[in-house]
Amino acid sequence: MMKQWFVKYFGIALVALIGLSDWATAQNVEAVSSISADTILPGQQITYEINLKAPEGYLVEWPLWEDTLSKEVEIIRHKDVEQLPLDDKGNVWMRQQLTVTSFDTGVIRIPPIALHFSPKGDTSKYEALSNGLFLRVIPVAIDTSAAFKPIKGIQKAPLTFMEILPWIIGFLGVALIALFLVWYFVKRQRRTTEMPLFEKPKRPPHLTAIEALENLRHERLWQNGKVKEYYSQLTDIVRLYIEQQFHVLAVEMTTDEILSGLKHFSINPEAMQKLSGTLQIADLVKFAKAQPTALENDLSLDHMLDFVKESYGNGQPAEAAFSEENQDKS
Amino acid sequence: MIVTDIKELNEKIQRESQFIDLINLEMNKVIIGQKSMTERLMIGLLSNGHILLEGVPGLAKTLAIKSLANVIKADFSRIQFTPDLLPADLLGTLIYSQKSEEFVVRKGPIFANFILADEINRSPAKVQSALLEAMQEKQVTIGEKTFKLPDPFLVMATQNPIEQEGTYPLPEAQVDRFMLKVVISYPKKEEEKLILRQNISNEMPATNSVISTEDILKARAVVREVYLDEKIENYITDIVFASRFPTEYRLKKFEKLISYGGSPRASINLALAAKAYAFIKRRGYVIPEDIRAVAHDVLRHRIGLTYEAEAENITTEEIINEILNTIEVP
Repeated sequence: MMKQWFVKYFGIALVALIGLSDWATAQNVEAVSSISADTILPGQQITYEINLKAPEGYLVEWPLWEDTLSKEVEIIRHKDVEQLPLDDKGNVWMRQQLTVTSFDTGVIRIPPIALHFSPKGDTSKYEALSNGLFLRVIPVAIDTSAAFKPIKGIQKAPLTFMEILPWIIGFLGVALIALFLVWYFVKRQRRTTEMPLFEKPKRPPHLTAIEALENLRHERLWQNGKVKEYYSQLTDIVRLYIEQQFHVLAVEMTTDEILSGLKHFSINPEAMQKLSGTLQIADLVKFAKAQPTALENDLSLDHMLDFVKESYGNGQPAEAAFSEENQDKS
Repeated sequence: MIVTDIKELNEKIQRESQFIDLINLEMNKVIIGQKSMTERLMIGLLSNGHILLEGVPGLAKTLAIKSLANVIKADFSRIQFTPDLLPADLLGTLIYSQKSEEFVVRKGPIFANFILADEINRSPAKVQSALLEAMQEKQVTIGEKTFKLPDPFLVMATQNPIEQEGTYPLPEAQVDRFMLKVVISYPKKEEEKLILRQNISNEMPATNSVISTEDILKARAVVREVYLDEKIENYITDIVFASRFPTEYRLKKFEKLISYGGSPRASINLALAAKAYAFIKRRGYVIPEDIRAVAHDVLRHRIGLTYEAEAENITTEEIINEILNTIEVP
């Protein structure tokens, strides 16, 4: 009997001791929650703060927040968990602030938040509950006697710096490109204006032609039976001279076209006659197997020399000839 | 100056080409203006080539070829090409004769010296190819018999450039068989006044027959004798090659504009037409002027343009002009 009594009360004492131990452990950890205002309008944002006090070395599992605290209370954003310095009793204080709101009117209960922790050197998990809170959401007072107001248009949100940043970068980029182009063209302009200073002056076409004609004379082509080659070179020299001196594309022109093209220039008629005669003889030699006499061969070169010498000062088209032509065309 | 061979040839040409003046005199009685068209008809006639004529209605195309046939005492047929025309309508067919109780050949209008194929692009391909085959072969097969076409045989086909609906454009291969493509335009104001006077007066001038077809055949043989120097041959091949490979001739800009250039037939026809032109000008040798005079008519239907060229409104005329202005004249 005695033995039964002992076992019963010893068991009760043991359970009580264990419960007391848990209670004592929980008493060391304290969770407190508070709100910055207990009465708000729908949608008004307040700060919900949760503080936890625990001895140093306790392992705390902080809750992971979702969108809501409860069915009626929404979390807008939350700050990071802060850890405060140890107090004089060797406790650690942890704090987190959440921005919350509610859109439902009435008295809303914010439930206690459960925070789990493990004491130092113990793998068991314990729970500390914060205090529950009440939040009063009062409706907006509506003046029913006032007239209806028109619906407001969509309001633009103020521009943020990040929105403006791409425009600023773009503008700076364009400005830089423009500056580079200005610099490049100014530099190039300077270079091109400076270039002529170092450019070797071009040789006048008539000097080149005279020299080439004299060289042709010394080559003695027709004397060696190369009459066709002689006349080909003779006409090529004069056609190149005409092209360079008068800017008439004589190399790509036929005899008639060359003579017609030179009509606009005030060239001595006698020189023109010499050119025309020689070009015609050259055509006969080149295209009709003509065999001019030795005198004609010599004269042809002399005539071409005369033409070059007499025409080189007439590089500009005669104004009278041009104006007459333009009148005809109009 | 001694001109071997050519001097004799020139004299021969002076003798043989006297009829040119007579033909021109007779043609000028009825055709006012259109000198180029008459000249091209003569080139075709003398060099045994056919002519494709492009021009709006009413520019004396029919009158020109009819008058030419009359001046040369030759047969003339005018065939109006329509969508329902059949090859047999053109070439002829076998008809059963009840009298002789056998099939007899009924020759078509193609059996004439001068054919005017009016609006050739109005008929489908089978009729076009029947004509073009006859042009090429100079003979026609009806049933089991082959008939030679009369000599000279000159086809002048017309195309209307303004009406393209319901037409069958000639394929490139077929167009190439025409020696020349002549584009004729409206007469000048003064010429039109003369045409007006001539047509409203009571007396319409008539042409007289001044030469025979035999004279033309003799003249053709002389035309073949006209001297064509190697330099001119090179000039011709340069022009045709520039239309094929423009980049090699400092015409890189045409590389994407030309889809195909002139065929070897272009070179042959350019040489033949130039010889005929020299003959008309009473010369026994070809000069670059002759090549330039006929180059447009020989090449304009032998150069194919790309879509890019058509989009940029670039014509074959511009391309030929540029080629002639770029290739060096010998």
